Amino acid sequence: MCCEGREGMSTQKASPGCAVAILGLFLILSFVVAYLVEGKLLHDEGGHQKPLKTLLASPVTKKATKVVNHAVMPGAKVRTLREFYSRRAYPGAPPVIPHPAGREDVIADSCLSCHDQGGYVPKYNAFAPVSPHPEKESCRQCHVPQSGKAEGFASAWRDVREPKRGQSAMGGSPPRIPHTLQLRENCVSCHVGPGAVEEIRVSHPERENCQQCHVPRSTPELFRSKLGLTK
Amino acid sequence: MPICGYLVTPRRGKKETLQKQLKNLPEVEVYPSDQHDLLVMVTETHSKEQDQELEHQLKSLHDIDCLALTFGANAS
Amino acid sequence: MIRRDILKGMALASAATAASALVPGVAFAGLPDEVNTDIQWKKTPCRFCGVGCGLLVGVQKDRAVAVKGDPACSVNKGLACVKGYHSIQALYGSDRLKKAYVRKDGVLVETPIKEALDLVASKMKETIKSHGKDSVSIYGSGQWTIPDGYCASKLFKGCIGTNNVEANARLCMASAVTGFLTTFGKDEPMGCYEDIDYADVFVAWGNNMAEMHPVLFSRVLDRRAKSPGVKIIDFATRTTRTSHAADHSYLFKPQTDLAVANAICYELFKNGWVNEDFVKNFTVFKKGKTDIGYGLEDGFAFKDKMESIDLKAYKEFLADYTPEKVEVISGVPATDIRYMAKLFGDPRKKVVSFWCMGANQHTRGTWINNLIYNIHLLTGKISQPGNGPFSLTGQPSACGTVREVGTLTHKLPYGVVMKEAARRKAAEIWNVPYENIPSKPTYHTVEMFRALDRGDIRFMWIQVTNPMVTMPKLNRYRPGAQKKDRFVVVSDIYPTPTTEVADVILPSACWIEREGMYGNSERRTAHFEKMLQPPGEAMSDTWQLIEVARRLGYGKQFSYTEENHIREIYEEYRLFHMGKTHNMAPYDVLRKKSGVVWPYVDGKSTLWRYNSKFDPACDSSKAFDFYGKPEGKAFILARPFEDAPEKPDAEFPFWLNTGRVIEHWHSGSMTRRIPTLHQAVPEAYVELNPKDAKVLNIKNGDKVKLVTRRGELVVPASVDGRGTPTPGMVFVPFFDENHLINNLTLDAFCPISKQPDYKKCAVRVEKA
Repeated sequence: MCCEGREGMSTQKASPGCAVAILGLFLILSFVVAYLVEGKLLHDEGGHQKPLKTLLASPVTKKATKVVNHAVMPGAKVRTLREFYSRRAYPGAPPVIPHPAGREDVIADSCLSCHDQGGYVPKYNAFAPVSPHPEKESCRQCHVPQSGKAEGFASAWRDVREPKRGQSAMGGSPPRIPHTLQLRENCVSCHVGPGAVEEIRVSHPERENCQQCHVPRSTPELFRSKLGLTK
Repeated sequence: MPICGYLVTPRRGKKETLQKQLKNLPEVEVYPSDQHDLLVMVTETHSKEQDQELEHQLKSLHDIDCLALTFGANAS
Repeated sequence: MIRRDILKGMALASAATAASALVPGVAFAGLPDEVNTDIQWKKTPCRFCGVGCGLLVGVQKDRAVAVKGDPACSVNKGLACVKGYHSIQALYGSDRLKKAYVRKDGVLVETPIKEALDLVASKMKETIKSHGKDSVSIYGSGQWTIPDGYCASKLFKGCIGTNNVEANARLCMASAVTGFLTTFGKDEPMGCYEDIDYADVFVAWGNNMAEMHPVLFSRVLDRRAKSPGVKIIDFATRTTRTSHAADHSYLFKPQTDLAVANAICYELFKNGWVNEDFVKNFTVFKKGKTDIGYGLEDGFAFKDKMESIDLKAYKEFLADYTPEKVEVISGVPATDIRYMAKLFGDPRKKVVSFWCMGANQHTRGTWINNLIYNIHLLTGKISQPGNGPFSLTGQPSACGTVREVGTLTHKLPYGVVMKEAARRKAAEIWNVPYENIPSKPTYHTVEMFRALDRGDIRFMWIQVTNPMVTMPKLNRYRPGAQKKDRFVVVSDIYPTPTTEVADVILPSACWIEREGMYGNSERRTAHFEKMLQPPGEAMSDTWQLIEVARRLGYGKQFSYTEENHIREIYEEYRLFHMGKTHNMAPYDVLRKKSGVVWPYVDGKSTLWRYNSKFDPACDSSKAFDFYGKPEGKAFILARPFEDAPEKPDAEFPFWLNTGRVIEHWHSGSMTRRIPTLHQAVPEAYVELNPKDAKVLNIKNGDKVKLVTRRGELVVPASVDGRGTPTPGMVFVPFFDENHLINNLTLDAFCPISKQPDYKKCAVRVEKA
């Protein structure tokens, strides 16, 4: 494309009219180069946003801004999808508390000090996940820590497959939301920022109104007209 | 004896007829796509003779445009 | 799955994948579920507590795989709690009972279920022949579905002809019931959960709502967050999560809630906060007997006697309960008592009272229920949105089954056995001779287990409950059940300490493995369909009862069809409650909706009872009509403070209090087999107040020995953990079958309700 043109430019003495043309061309090219370089920095070959190092803050929702604008920490632990699911009895279950959970005698200790806005936690060298429902005060109603004591009754529980990602109707279509939105209406919690789950961090958080393009599947059925005009 | 999975592309407009024909074959399970001219098929045979007979019968179905084998395994 | 099926699934999946590479978005709806990962979501009330959250269970290929809160259910509006979210895992413990067992020479032998049912029936016939009808009994549960309880009652009371029908709700809600009946003449709350959306003040009377009715508590928190000035008051004997979440927490000495409630009434009069018009038009003053005993002896009997008193006499009665006097008895500062009274008395504030086990598991449980009602009646804060006393229920269907179907010794689905009209109605609907139904109650739960011990009962069928963990004073009742010539049949889903004493074990279908209905605290009946196949030979409790009934010769009364028996049973049961005061919605309505509140009149649920604006059963010429009582006037009962039977003394200087944690349901037989829940709280412990721990040189985690007059137990200590008892008290949760705290508790009960007091007896605490 234009890259080839750039390399092929030769140096020669220029006249004023030519100078304007060259300047104009240079300007156009520099825009192009900037666009490409930015693209290369932010996106890998698969079109997925590159993690951490190259993430740039962008004004999204107020919350996302606060999440994304925290200092980016090279070498910080990355939140993987496997880890995400290992904390849940089934996809959609409330995750267990994977760290010492503070005071046991309250409905919530200082959970929101990390989980309301996210942020880097030096103790765990990781970014705290952001809660999609911080307005719920009684965290311990659904989230419990685990004692680590393995003895107990054996369970024959069989986990279900996690929802497939990238469920697009056609190549390039916005994939549908493969999970229920109950208690998970804030996409930012898992999909944006350094606290996002790595594999599902979005390439375009700045677009804000996620549900403009991404919709859940409310029914597996297809539409069938009852009008009977075509038999 | 082999279990095979196939992707079946019927000739234009022949999806329904082909589906009926395939359904009649005892070793075959067929599932049509909801909105496209495609069918998915699984065959299971229990002997070499049955296998050859099935191959013969599939070859005789002129409404099949393309038959792609996607999976094969010996079930014995 | 066998290998061939797996391969076929892979073959189909590979072809489908190839197709989607060719044509993105292609769908094959007809493909079997190995390839289609679509989950079907079906509604059900939760298996656990009396809040009765609506859940959606995700079913995939005949397995329950996920849970969501049901957004269409007004109870919880899409939210659940940690037990609800993990509830389906309770179906899949590895040692799930799939076969029946019969004990032969002390050893349990696997037996085909038909044979086991034959044995149950023949043993019943034999026992009745040798020892009479009252030698057989059934002990059921507030976790019985409505059809379970209905069949049990019909079989035992209608067909066999014995009133030996009891349920574990006797141990959790009996005082609430007698509280309702003595004050209002009718059971169950007059308000509903919508009250939470209107109230300004919430008072929790001795219940840890944050852990025990967590989703309702979240609604309360939500209300407070959205409305400035809304207050939550925790009134308890122990500091819990609820205490910390509340605006104020007042600690009282055990049993003195009676005194404080009366002191609040005293203050209402003193400050002119009594709603005089309401009191004059809609209430009368009464008193009952005092010094009524504690039920400690076998065969203890008590019958109350109501006497009318006038306002003057009632005020004189209250003169003993000035805040200053009560401060001395209860340890609650007089200023705090006055503050609580002010909240109740302020006419601009709507007040909702919530209570559960703290008030019900109480040797004066009926009285404390009455006293809380007194406060709301004196102020007229009752039967209006946001204003009213709300007795919370513990189990998912203690209301729906035990109380509404009437699976207690004195009850029938409509009315009591003592009344001829009620017996005639039952005989007609049940199609049994009128003479069959006995007119005298026999034993309440504690007495039933005493009778089993003595030998007056020789056969007991236990369904959906675990009395060998949950009965008080287990050291008597466990050996009692194991004596010679006692035949115990246990229907359950897992091996428990109760199946340990069984002669026959029947494997039961659990919850959504069969169709059924539950009724929750707010009079809401909710239906669930059969979503899964029960494992092995497991059979629903309903069908077990029908099979045995047929073998006993009652085929005519139990001629229900297998495909539709739940509908048939429910529609028959519904006949008992027709009328504006208790009409139940038709089966088809229950199937469609996420729960329906009764009375269901002209297609509408009655949310607030006794208020003419909302309740069609009222006499519309009056604003309020407590139609369970003569002239529609509720009773304000002068109930005094009477102390607990076994208080701490020199030898046993601590109070022993028992209860629950949010993670575990009852005796843990289900929740301990749910990995997340078990891993959260793997074993029982004893909570000590830090001051006491220091004196006893006990640190968090140290082994502690607890000794009462009845038994002893060693458990690890919890200091500054989830809950802090007041000094001089210890608290032990009872979910752990390896730490049977009920070996130590006392079988004293409220003489009116017969409900035991699990919260108060005397214990010695030592470092082990």
